[in-house]
Amino acid sequence: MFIRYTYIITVVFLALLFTDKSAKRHLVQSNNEIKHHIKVHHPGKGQNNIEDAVLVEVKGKNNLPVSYYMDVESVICYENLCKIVPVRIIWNTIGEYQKYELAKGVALEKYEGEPYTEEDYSKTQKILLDVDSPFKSIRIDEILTTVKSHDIVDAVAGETLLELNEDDTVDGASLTCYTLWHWAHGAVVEKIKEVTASNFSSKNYIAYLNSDNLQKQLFAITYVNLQKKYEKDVVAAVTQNTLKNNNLVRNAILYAENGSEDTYLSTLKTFITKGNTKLKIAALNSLLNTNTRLNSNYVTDLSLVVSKNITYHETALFLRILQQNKQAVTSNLISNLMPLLQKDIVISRNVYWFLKGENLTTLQQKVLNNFAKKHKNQL
Amino acid sequence: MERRKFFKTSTKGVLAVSMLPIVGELTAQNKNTETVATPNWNTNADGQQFHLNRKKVITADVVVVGAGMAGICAAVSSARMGNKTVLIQDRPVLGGNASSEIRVTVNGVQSLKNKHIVERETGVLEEMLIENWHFNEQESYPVWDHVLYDFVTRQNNLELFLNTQAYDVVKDGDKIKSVIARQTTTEMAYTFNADVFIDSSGDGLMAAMAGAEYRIGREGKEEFGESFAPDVPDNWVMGDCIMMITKDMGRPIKFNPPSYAIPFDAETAFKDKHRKIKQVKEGFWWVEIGSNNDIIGEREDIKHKLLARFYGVWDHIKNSGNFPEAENIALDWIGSVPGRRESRRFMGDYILTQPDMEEYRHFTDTVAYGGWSLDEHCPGGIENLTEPASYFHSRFKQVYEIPFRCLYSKNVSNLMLAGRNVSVSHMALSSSRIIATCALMGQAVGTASALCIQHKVTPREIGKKYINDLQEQLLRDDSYLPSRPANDKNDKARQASVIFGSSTISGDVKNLIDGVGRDEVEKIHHWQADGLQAELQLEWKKNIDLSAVELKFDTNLQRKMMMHKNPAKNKGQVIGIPPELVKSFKVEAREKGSWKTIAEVTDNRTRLVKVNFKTIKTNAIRVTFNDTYGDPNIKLFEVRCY
Repeated sequence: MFIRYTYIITVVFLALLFTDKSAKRHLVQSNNEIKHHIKVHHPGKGQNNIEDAVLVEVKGKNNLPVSYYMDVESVICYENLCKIVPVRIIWNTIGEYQKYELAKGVALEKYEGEPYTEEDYSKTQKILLDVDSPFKSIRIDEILTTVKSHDIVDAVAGETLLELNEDDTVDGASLTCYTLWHWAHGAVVEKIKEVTASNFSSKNYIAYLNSDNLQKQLFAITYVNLQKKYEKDVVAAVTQNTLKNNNLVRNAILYAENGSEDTYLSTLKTFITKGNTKLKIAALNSLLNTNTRLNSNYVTDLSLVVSKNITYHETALFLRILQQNKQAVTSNLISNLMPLLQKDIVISRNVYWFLKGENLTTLQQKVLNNFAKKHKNQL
Repeated sequence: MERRKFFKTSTKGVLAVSMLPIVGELTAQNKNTETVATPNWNTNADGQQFHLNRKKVITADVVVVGAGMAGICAAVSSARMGNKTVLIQDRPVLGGNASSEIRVTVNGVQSLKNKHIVERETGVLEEMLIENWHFNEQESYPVWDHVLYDFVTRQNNLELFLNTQAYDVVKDGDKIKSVIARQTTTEMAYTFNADVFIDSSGDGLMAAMAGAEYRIGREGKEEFGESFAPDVPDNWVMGDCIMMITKDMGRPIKFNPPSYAIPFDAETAFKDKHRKIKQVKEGFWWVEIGSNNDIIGEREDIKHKLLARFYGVWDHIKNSGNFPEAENIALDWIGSVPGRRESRRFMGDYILTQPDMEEYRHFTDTVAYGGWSLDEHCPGGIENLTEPASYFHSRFKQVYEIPFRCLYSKNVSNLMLAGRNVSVSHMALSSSRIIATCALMGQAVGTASALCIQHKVTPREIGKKYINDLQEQLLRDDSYLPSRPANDKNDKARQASVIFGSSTISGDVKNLIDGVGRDEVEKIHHWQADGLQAELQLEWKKNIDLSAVELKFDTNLQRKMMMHKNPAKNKGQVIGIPPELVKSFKVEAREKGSWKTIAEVTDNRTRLVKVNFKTIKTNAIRVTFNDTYGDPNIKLFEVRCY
């Protein structure tokens, strides 16, 4: 027999006793909490459904958020066929799912009333921790077909029967897993980030940037960009950590592009001078597509880097940047490029074609002519 | 002016018109002068026999009989390879089971027990499905017919004969020399001569008339070790179906069944978990009738019985009071041509079986794949309510392979087959019969036919001597062959010294030359740039001659693409051109240090794009991708250069 429990969201402040299923400890509602009334969308409740919810921000000693939680219904239920229980979902400061909790005496159920086993609780936690779980792309109607009717696939009607791998779901509780996964990784995550960011100062962001935690670093770069924080120490933290971690490149370039011209150019020069190939290419691509005009000193400095250890891709990008900034080409820059004629043919001939259109010294012209003669079949 | 009157007074009429002030184009008036033919009174009729003087002999390289999705793919592939190709269809529209006459959904591999679930078919079939969303967002079946008509008739080297029944053959030893056909709308008697013949007609009358060996019925368990087969062989085949579409009138609509409707035994029928009324928008697949005698010879009787049974079911829905949701629903269309699952299976050098599929056996001559479940329908259909509507045996964990040896006749040397009439066991057919799988077979034999013509050999010899060439061509033309990556030595992209993309957000630009044109489960084969306006560049150390750049884009092969009779089935699909698909791009070549644009493509609607141009000498190619149909990033699976 199925029981439908009515659950009211205001329990947030009723100091309910919740049980952490994995740690078997009890968590009591603290007074150091702020509740945020938010509107959230859950994909299982229809495309346009948006409902009110309460996101609770838990503050630490320094009045900064340390975690968040929200109490949700365990399952989106159709035809009153399932038992609904309240589940508390807990996130960290940047919206990463941490764990779920149930009130004491409350248990999750599977299809046809079968109770969850300890193994099922652990498996649910594992599923909810997986940001790339299959539940990310599955539609609720596909799960409903599995749970309720076990209908066959039909050659004419063409219905899809979903079958998840054993590791990816709790057998008989796919709908619960789906419901909780989308709460844990849904729209509320962005809301959490916004709340945390609203509490943060540059100092806090710098701490996150230096944390060696990729998600915290990405969060920090995103929000220093949004909040236009370009103090020297923030820019330095972004730059230094990007040099160490390729996963930050995309966000860091965007951050630099949104800064002042000085910040942009100096940051990109650091990336090209000190960065690895991926960072160099991203920075050169940015310079290729920027509207900012580059001056002689800037491109000449870059040419020093280019003339040393550089890939073909980097050379090609740099030469295109020079084509766009012809006014900045100087004799010093040309001198810096000349050694590249000794490199592999795919690099050297690109340099040759560029130099061919420039004012060269007699000696440089002679070198160029010799190059053309030597490689006439490859030009 | 009536036509007759105009002819009578034509000279004066033209003169009179010429005296009027000239407005518009004068030449139009001159062109209107018609030659008046003498009347045909047929006074030579001898009262004994009519001597019809309507005969034509058409000589082609390849003749394809049957223009369902398999036949279209066969004919288009053959024509694109340069064969003069004839496509013969006995119906007024193209598409066969998928046409507006029958309206079976173009299903394919879409319920695998792996992370992909869907492993959608590419190649010629996909081109048609994308075009359908371009021209027919409204999902109209009659419009779909004409999307196919446009697709076929605009193809160079391909001549289409609709309403044409190929009913006989002329043989020369073990070869078919000619197909004899009659076009019913023009009374024209055709003799089609060709070197290679493809039967993709389903029932396979042409192949049967040629003496090709076939089977009708079910193999016993023992013959191929098929666990789901009956203990002993018999003559049962899966049944025919009739489809319908309804409309909501917004007010109660009554239904009066025709006189021949057979009352529906709902109580018995609904004991089976498969027979259900879950929707009232389209047909019910279990309104099905098979045969254990002669499914072809009984077809008109089966059609009558299907209509009688269907109207009985609809009477139950409308008038039993158990389906209030059907109160405002009215029948809008019901088919008069049953869709057919099974009849003749022509024997090739290999018979694909249930164990081949379940064990995912690899064949060195694989040319197609499938993955629909082993979905064997109840032999008696709705006339046998005591058995389940389908013995839905097993779903697959991955796609299975279909070898070329199943696609040609073992005893008619220039005959190939595609669709549900190929060399598979009854049990294997319960999966391979699905339309998109049949279409892949069509592309395979159409392509093979070109190699037959080129090398002047039989299909069997293609399998033995030129299978590598066939597989390479199929892969180049966007077929997918499991465990068979492309390795085309003529592809100069593979010889490039450098290949790089402007940025990478996922995958690797080197994947574009790894020979696999789609992502496989846990194996990435794509390159995805960060954003639009992406660039791809290939560079060779020495100058090379180049006349083609070929690209394979993303259309999301893990998402279904077919249209449906019931719009509710569109869930999870995109109504329109795939947003991932690259819409416009530019190809540049570097000549003597300068980049020159050699092609610009706009409004692209295909996954595979072959950019052909006059041969140039170059050492670098740059492709700049401008935009997609909606996705924020450019994504590709392959680049080739020839």
